Amino acid sequence: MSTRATRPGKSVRRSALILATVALTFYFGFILWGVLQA
Amino acid sequence: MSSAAADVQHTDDHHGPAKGWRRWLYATNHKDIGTMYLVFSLVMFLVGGLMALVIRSELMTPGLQFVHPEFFNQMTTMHALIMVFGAVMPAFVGLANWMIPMMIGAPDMALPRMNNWSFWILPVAFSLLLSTLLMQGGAPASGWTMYPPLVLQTGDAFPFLIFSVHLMGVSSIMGAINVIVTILNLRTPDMTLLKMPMFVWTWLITAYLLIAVMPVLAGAVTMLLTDQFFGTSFFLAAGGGDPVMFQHIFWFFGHPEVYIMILPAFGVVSEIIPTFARKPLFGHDSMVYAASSIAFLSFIVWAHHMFTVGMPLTGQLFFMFATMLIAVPTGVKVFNWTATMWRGAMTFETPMLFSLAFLFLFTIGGFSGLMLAVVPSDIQYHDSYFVVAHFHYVLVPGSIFAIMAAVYYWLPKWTGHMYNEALGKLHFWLSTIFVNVTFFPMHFLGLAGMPRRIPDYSTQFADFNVIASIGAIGFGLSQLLFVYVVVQCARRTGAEASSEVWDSPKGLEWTVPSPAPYHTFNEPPTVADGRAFS
Repeated sequence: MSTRATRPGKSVRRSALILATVALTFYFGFILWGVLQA
Repeated sequence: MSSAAADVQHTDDHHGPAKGWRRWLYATNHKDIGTMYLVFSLVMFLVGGLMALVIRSELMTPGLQFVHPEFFNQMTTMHALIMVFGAVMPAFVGLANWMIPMMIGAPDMALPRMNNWSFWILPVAFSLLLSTLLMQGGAPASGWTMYPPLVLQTGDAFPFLIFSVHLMGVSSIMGAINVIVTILNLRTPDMTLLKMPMFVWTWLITAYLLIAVMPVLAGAVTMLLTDQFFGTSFFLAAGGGDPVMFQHIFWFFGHPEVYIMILPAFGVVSEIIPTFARKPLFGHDSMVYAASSIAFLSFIVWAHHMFTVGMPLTGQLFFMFATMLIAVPTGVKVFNWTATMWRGAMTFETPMLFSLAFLFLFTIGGFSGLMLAVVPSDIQYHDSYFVVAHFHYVLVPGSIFAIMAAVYYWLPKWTGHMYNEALGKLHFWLSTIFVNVTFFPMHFLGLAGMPRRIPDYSTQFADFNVIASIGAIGFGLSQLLFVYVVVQCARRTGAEASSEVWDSPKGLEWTVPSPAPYHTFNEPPTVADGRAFS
């Protein structure tokens, strides 16, 4: 049985946290890239 | 029954919606939040449309007629920001909220409280942005692209612009996280990824694009903010920065943004055409691969917006060929829709009419896009009305027609009543005629050399401009009919709709009654319930 079917709550939190981390990494990553270009 | 059923089988479905304003301010129900998104985007569509009419009224005849040139620039800037971030994107998020849970057999979105926050940030963001119209110095006037150093000349409106763009980004990112998490975690157990409807697929891909590029826009405008107020020189040549770098970062966001606004439209059309052709979607899986390919290619074509700023020949060649490559998966989609209709038992209700117009007119926008991809031609067309014609063909009879098709298609499911078909068809024909009257002459204006974003022009451009302006006024007035039809349907004046609404449509959303109950799918359905095809 997959995680999706058995424990949706845990899987939802984990997916959401991963995606939020990716978004924040892109945000700060691009600013850091801008700093390094200057 | 699996434990999945037990997990989603809550016992709190005995209550209905809260009463009064609390229902909306504290909303966590995906249908309520979807409705709020759709109403918000309709209001923004009308506000942005009024700004378009100011622009077209000024351009009706040569010379300065009604507004100061500075205000004209504010109108072009605000029209674009409002239509992109306030009308088209929230409309698709509204459709996603309403339909994705119902299409995948989920009881709600995965993160309902974040969903509430995603929506309520938007009215705040646009109140901030619109408030700049009342400020000394007026609203932002540098174009929606916000290129420095011009944008740094914005007056008091500048920090409001930056903050509102940040808020729109936060809202979009949270909405996208919610869509991905919902689709990946809350599908009914036997719905494998390739059994998902195309609208769900295109939204999944769109949500990944949003998460990848909205932070890039946020990073770019943060750097603008620090350049203006904190002494940095990211984009200021005098301090060792590079203004062209902003253009690169902006379009690294901006080009995927174009696909963010069109991929869900592809999904809508892929739902509607099979229903009214009474045939399964031709090449479902190839549609998924095509949408994924378009999304991937959208990341490697950004500099085709900047051919005239100067770049190495190899760069020009790379971005030209990569851009042309997008025509391949887009062609796969267009031919798949055509093959879906081939020998189908077709009928032409309003959603189908809008979908067919989408197919023809979006393709015109696609072809002019190919012309713009060719570097030597683009250098001639750049910043001309040809570009304005191109992207309006993609966005108006493309994205907006798909949104209207979706509203007509699912409105009976939302309200439980049919809309007025005769008025819907009248709205379609008026919109389709006037959209062409408005935007087709702009191709000729651009080829003749009329630059974009100007309040006055040389007299040789007068004839096509008056035609475009008449078309714009006609298109604007036609949309009042759309508002009337939707409001009449929402007031439940039409005939009662059955649960299937149309002639044997496929998908789980048609298995629930019309109007869709406040809580749906307390027990996970099976894919076969919706007669979905894989």
